[in-house]
Amino acid sequence: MAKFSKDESSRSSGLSFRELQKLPKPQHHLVNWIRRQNQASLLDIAIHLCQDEETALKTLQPLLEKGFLEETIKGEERYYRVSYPPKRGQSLFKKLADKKKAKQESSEDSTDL
Amino acid sequence: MTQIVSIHSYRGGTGKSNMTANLATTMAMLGKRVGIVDTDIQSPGIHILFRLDETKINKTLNDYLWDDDCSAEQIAYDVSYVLNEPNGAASNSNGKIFLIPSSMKSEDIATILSEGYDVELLQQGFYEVGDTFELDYLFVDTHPGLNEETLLSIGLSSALVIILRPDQQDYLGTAVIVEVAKELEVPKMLLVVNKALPDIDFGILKDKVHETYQLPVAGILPLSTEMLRLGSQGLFCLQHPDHPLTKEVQRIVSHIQG
Repeated sequence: MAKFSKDESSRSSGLSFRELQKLPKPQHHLVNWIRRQNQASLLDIAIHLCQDEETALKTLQPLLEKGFLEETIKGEERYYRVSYPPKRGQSLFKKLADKKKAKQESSEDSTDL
Repeated sequence: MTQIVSIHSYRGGTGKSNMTANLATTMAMLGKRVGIVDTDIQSPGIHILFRLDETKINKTLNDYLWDDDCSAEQIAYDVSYVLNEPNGAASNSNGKIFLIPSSMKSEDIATILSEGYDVELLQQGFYEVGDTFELDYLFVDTHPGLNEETLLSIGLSSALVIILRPDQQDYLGTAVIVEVAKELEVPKMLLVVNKALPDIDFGILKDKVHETYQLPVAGILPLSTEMLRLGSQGLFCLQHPDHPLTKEVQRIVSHIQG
């Protein structure tokens, strides 16, 4: 199975837990449900919401606009999944890694001599 | 579809990894295909319980999170051999255990903490492992406390097992975890009290915990000298199949299945 590739142009900041907490109850519930499906087709979502596909798409629109969901189109089907913020590196460990790298490079330089 | 079961605690030292390994093994003994993912990237080690030789570990979860070409198949190790060991003989032969370890190399741990990673890859990895190995259950051993990958694991779970000790700090921390899990609408939440002193009344303790969190208490496990003696050098449920602690693990598994 190939890793899910993302259209970088539609890449957003993603849905953090804090933002999830701020969502109105119906959107909050929908996002949690989509997350547990991994990804859901528009038809699945429409069935879940007891709506027709056009109305379901309107329900999804604000979540797509905020970058909390991402859409992929496979054939004629639209699929939706939750978009997350990337995990940032921790500066302390970055310093540690940089220091180690520098040390390695300097030992390689001295071996070359 | 693979059921994702996260094992979590607010604080470290609750016996989370031991519990994850024993729950997964007990489930496999019932003939289920199970996976275990060690998402405790900062302090991994569940593979030690399965005596998975570190020299035989080539790729780990860390590689999957960094390397686009690394597949789920490359990071999963079949550790079902534990089921064929003397005390595992009574298990259902269809059971399988696949373990996805995290790297124990200091440079790998430091790098992933310094560079970060795309949390979505973790989610993708869970489903890829589930599909590739046709898993019934995927057990996720999480890092204690709250961070982005823990929230993700909890949010994807069909069941969440929260482990706590009879300790005031654990009680308060567990309230935080329960609150978060409720926000994430996890369909099934179970509480497990571990390391309870054998001389306390388990019935009273169970009622108190249930009353506090309004969630089912799937098990209360006594502090066990046999478990301490084992010192993570094997799986308790296989070494002590008739021990009360093993029976309690079996009851927790029934709750997960039920």
